[in-house]
Amino acid sequence: MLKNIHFVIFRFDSKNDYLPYYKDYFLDVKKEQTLLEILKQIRIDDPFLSFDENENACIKINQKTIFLGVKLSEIINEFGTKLTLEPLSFKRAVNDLIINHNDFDDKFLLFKDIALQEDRKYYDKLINIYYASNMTSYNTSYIGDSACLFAEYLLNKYPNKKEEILSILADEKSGIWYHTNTSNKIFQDIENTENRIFALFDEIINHKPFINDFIKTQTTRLSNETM
Amino acid sequence: MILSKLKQQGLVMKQCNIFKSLIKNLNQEPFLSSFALLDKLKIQTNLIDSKNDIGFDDRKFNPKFYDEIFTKALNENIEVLALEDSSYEGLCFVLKKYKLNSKIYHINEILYQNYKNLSINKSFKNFNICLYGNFFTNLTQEILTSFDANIIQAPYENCGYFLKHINPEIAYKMASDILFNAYDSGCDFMIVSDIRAFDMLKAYKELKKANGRDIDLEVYTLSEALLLLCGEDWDLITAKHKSKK
Repeated sequence: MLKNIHFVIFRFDSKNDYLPYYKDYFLDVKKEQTLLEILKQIRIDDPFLSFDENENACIKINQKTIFLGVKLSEIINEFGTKLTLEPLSFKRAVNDLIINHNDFDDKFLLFKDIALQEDRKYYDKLINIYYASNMTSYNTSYIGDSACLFAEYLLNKYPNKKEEILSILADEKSGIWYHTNTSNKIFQDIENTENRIFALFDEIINHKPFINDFIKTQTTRLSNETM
Repeated sequence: MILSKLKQQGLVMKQCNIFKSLIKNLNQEPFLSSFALLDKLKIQTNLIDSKNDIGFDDRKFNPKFYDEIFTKALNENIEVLALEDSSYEGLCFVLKKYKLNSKIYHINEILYQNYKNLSINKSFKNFNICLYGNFFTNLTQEILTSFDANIIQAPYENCGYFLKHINPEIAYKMASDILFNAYDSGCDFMIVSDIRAFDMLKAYKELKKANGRDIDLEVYTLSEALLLLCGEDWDLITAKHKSKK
């Protein structure tokens, strides 16, 4: 049993609140409990607390994205005993830890002519990757890191669609160029995001003929700089 | 630590690489100030003047560059010292990729092991210092708090450098958010350990344009901060500090 663990939870109801606030909870918990079980435990005393009751749902803990199915022992091992729980996106917060993730869903449509419905399951697993990056708050058209990983998955599955997939990734306004390193923003990144996106960059830059004029310009610039 | 053992044996780093011409047109002086500090600490270093200058810019790294450095390092058994984050990141990346055994040090790691040997008679009492960096920030924090600084740890957000040539508007907006958040949290100056971030955070004109606000917040490297504590340019920093209060 772990005594007096400090949870600080983001509270906000988009229908009633003008500003969010944080509420403190001190709990005695078991190491093997999951984050989801902890939230359910908190809700016994605070019935208005909202969260997705699903181990595959995702929130942020101490600014890192994390699935609710993670065990507390692993969390405390990384962050210590003061844990701040927030929704994946402040801007998209609807009710406490629940967000409206239409923007994440919409990015799947970019691949509607390539991916099958069965591929959607993999895309949905990447929600923690999408919201780990803050780039979409600067550039709403950015496809998202999740879409980059999804594109790589599709490239392996449908090699005959390579040109179409690479042109989505290589788009000047919304493409992979807008990826920022999120390795310190994802708790246990099982997707190996940075290395996979790095390899995709290489593939795009080295693809001949150039996928578009923008890639040609950028590749030339980079080559000149490294001469 | 390996370095301490080497020093006990009377050995010092034979050679270090600082990416002398790291990224074209960037201000390298603050990072070169580490040499003055290493001199004070009597840590002998040599410079590898690499012509292939770039380690990690945007999304492309130059494997030839690293091959040269590491072939040399392996052949001559040298240790490599990176004076800032981007070179450290790039060197570690290649070390892992090519499964090499060379030892890479980050300057802040070395300063942590040795800062107590400096003759320091100043303190950062009543200074709020914001740290921006991705490596060894805990060590940087420990050094500065030992001189009474109050540390404000900035959440590590990308500085936008990689977008500078693609979408400068967004790039400078990202950098300005970092700088203005630090300023708004009451910080007196920032300590930055990445040459790319340094370049972005010192571009006051562009940052002002991106944010619509003027700002006067100095950005230093850890080496510069330690030199300040040694008394160099101390009047300059305290004058700024007083004018802000």
